[in-house]
Amino acid sequence: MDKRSVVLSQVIGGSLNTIADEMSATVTRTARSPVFNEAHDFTTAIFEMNGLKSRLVAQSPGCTLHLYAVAMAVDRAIDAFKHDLQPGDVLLASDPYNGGTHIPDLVVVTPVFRDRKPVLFPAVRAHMGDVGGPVAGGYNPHARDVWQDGLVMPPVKIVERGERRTEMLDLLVANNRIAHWIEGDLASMIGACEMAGRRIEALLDRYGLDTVRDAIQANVDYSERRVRAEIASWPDGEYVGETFVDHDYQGQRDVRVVCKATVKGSDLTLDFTGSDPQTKGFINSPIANTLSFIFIALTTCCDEDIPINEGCMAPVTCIIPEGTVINPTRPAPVGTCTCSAGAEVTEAVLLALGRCAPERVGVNAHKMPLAFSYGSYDDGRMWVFLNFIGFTGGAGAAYETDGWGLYPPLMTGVILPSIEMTEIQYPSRVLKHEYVADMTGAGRWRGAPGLETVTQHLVPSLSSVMMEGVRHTAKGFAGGEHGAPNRVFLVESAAADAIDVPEYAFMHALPPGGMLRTVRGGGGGWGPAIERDPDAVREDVLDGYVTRDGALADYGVVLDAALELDRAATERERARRVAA
Amino acid sequence: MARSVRLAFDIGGTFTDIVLDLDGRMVSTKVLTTPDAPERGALEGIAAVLAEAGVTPPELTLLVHGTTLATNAIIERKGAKTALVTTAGFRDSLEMAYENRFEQYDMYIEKPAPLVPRRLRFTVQERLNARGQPLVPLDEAAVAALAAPLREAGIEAVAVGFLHSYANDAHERRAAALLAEALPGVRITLSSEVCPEIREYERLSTAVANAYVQPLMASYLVALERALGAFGVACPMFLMTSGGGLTTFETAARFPIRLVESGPAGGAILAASLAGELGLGRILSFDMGGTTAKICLIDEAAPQKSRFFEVDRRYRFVKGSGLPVRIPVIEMVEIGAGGGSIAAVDATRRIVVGPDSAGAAPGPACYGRGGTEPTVTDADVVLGRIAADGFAGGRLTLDATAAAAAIGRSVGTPLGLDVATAAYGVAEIVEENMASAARVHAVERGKSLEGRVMIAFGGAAPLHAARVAEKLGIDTVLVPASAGVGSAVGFLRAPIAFEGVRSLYLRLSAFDAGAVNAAVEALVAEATAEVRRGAPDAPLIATLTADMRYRGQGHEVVVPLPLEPFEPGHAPTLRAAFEARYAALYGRTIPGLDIEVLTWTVSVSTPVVPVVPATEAGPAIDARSVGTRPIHDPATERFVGVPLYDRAALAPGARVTGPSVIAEAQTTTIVTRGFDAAVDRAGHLRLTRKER
Repeated sequence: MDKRSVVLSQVIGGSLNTIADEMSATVTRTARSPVFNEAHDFTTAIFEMNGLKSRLVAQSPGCTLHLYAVAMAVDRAIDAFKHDLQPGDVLLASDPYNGGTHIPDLVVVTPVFRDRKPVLFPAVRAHMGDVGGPVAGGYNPHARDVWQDGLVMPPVKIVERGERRTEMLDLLVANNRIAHWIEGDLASMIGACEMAGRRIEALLDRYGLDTVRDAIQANVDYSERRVRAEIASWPDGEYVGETFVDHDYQGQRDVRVVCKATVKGSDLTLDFTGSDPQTKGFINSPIANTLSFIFIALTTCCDEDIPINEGCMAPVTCIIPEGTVINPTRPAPVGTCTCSAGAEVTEAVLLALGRCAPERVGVNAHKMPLAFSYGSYDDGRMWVFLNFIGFTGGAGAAYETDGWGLYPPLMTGVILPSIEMTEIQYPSRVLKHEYVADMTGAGRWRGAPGLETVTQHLVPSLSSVMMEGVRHTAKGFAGGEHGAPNRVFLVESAAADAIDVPEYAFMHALPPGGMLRTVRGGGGGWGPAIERDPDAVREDVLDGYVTRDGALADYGVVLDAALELDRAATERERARRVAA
Repeated sequence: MARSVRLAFDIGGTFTDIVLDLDGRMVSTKVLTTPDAPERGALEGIAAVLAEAGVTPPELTLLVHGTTLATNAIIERKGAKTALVTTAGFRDSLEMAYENRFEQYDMYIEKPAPLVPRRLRFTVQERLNARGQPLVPLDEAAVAALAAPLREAGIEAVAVGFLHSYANDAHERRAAALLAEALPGVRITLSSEVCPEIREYERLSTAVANAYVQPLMASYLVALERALGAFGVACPMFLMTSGGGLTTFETAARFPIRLVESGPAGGAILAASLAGELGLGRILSFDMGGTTAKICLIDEAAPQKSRFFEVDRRYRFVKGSGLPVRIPVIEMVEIGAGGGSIAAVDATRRIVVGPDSAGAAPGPACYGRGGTEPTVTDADVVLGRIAADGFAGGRLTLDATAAAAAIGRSVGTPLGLDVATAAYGVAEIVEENMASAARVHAVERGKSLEGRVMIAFGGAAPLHAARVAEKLGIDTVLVPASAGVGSAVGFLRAPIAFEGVRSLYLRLSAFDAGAVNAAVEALVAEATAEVRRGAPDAPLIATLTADMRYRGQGHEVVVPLPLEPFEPGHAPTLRAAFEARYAALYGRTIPGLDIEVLTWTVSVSTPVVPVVPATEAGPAIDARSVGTRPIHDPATERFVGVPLYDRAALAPGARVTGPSVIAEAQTTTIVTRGFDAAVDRAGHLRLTRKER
């Protein structure tokens, strides 16, 4: 290697990431459904095939929970066509038991050839607005098997040698409630892959395959070195993290996910032995989904400037026993895996690593109450209202950082919809959307504030609610407190009693004027609350995130009636608590 | 005919640029910005330019000013103590923002703090629906009761922003009247006035930002007007806005938020104007100054406008890490890559450049003003691209030894590279960063870069333009006359303009011509009145656009429409206009789906200053070099002597073969091995890729 290869590998790595960024921009610009262009629930990435297994070499920031799962989907899709893969082919797949996550997430991938061999694979994974199956949108809490989740797509060619296979498209469209969404969204995913294919060809023409491969290897090695350096900075030992899914929607409660992290030098083993068996209900997380959530935990524990590629996972060995809720076997239903039990996988890893590297864990929170309502306009057209506004919030704290934002790193790209726009798009009104005091996980750094939302539907509606984070709330780290529980109430009228939804509601009928009241618990704290700077607590009281009573109860901070800090009384109170 | 003596000055983060146009003859200078009192440095530079040109202040016929002062007030959080009054139940909309995390793998990112903390956000009972009909009347007693806490908190400015006020401003107006009466001297911004557009967070954020900078900007503008008057300036004075139009001091004092990004807007105006002058269809404008680089795509001599800008992107200029304002802006991407951008090596062996900048103080290591960290300018000095003497018109002598030491210490030693290779790495990375930003910017706008002509200006751009063009596959680079102070030159080519906007939601299936006509007429009247303040007699051009989308989509498409009264049967015309635009962007339409119109925009402007099209550059003549300069050759990793030319001495028609260096007072153009250069009749330098 000549000495400028340091620079060249950085330039080629940067070019590949830029191509992934261009794919992402193409999808955002051309997709049809709001899940894509408003909520950005997709990811774009580039994989390299060298031998039998593909590896992640470049990516664009998107919905992180998709990212690492794509590698396995690419492997399976290529394996399915290993004797029949041609330039100009585009493959599609969604089978949860073939590298998939849940069925609404479709993967589209295309091979880029050099010397008659496929070498690089741009891919998009995206959450489709609808993919057919028994329930609109794909969340069916009554599913007992994967077929009740929705239409399972094994790897298929959607484009063959540059020609669209219209019969495959027709199959997908025929099984879809919103044909123009899937048609437009698929076209945008295929278009993004084809554009990336052309860009990668140009890159290969310019530098040659060997130079590009050398650069990729240098970048993967670099990321591995960085992650190894991070792991090596943690003390050797075994550390256990344990957490629970509230329930499986079929009556089973407190479903356990456990991770034993073994740190030895720069190697990390994550052993999930002891996690509960797969469940009847649809919380099961297929292996690709579980690996993706492990990847999220690991990458958020390391420096943010490490290039995201296969090298990040090289130091890690995962033991995930088959038949568990985090590696189920067909036909266990998996519909809600990208929420639970996926979130619990990340949480268990972070809790385990928090025992050896507390300053490296935090923020995680994915325990959100999912709610959606639907109904019909006078002209018979259906509307479906995904209550994004109500289930937002709840990010936890990190070392030296108070929690903020509605989504944890898992779903970075998701954007809070505008209330004014919502009131134009739906027969609905948002009556309240405001922080609630004292619902934050207290800590040396505190979680994001809790949030109350009241949404009213002006026409008859059916509402489904899936509750999480009620029995097991967003976890605090390093001695920080957990966030407050989520609550959702169905309010049939101003006169009627609100109906508290403890686990879930399925197509609950509300009359015109009926309301959903959502109380989203705050995020978990980081570090003991009595170590929080008393002046910071006072600032929170002045801003109303914490009440004066809450300051005393949660933080041991004494404020007088004028909200001035009583330092002596605070020290006494905190000393008393430490002694007790 | 009376003399035309027009002066423009642009106060940027590192340099203040001054340009005088004396009947077409340009005199310019570049001085370091004096951040503590920006008008001081500017007046010194103005005096120098006037002296050089032999002109006295009273002889000026026009003065145009652009400044980063409003931006800096927000970045440094030095604006007024500001309160927000909003609808009950929505106290936290301003803070929740979009709630997305702009860097997904960094747990420790801080939320961009809103300009108004929660304790200064007050709510009152009132509510409108999406059509602007009152659901809950304004609680006037509650508004009046806010006077006491606002006074007690020492509030200097108040923003009033209620839900759906874009559809009906009555509650905001009434609340403002009550507050104004109780709080004399406090400036009040209405969200329905500064940004009458749907989407509450962006409207509130814009209103709050306007309120936040208003007291400061209003007093700055008064002081500046007075100082210029005392200096003897008696001509009409205008301010450059972010939208590329000029405005009066009076309008600027009411909407000071429209002054952010005025410098970069001037640059885009210059590029667009040159494109028209030279008949160039598709342009990539590349403006690289001391602190940032700006890239703007211009088709058919018209920069793309938008109404969204983020001030103060705190985290590496990443989208989402700043505060959004909805104001007319020229669409461009800005990244932390300027001459002053600091280079470093991260934890293990990667070069990173920017976005931190050494600014004017302490500046790059080679300035010898106490800067020790290596910058892009230091790398350019090491590589021989910039001569140590004659930088910024000879106002600064650069310390090449200090530049080499800084590059060696912070980049070379950690990577085990010699100083020259380390400097090459710094230049290569910053050039790659700019090329990447251009590629993504293009694709986000559905445009391609192939076949574009790059127009490069700003003090640092001509040093890096050829290499960036190579990376982007661009074959022609134009380095205009006075390239080093391009933004200020652009100020003198900008029209006087105002853009009025209002959200009026309707579906084409229920098109209400009367309501649209009333709204558009009001916008035309408003914008015309604003422009007439500065151009009482000039002919005016008015245009109309509508933000439209298919029903249920999340993003709107800006559709140009004829500005004439609509008839009730015009829905199919609007549909056709939308679908033509949609098909141009996305290559398809969606038959049968209803179309929504959200927002209507009227722009009124004086005609663009006419330019004389440049003719062919006469017969080719060989340029005469004034010496050789050793510059680093990446291919051989050695310093090679290449011809050095003095741009001022190059006559129209002069041809230069790359590799070579063309120096001028405010910048230096590097002609790489892959390019040749020629001077056209107007004095612009045109780099053309060699035949391969």
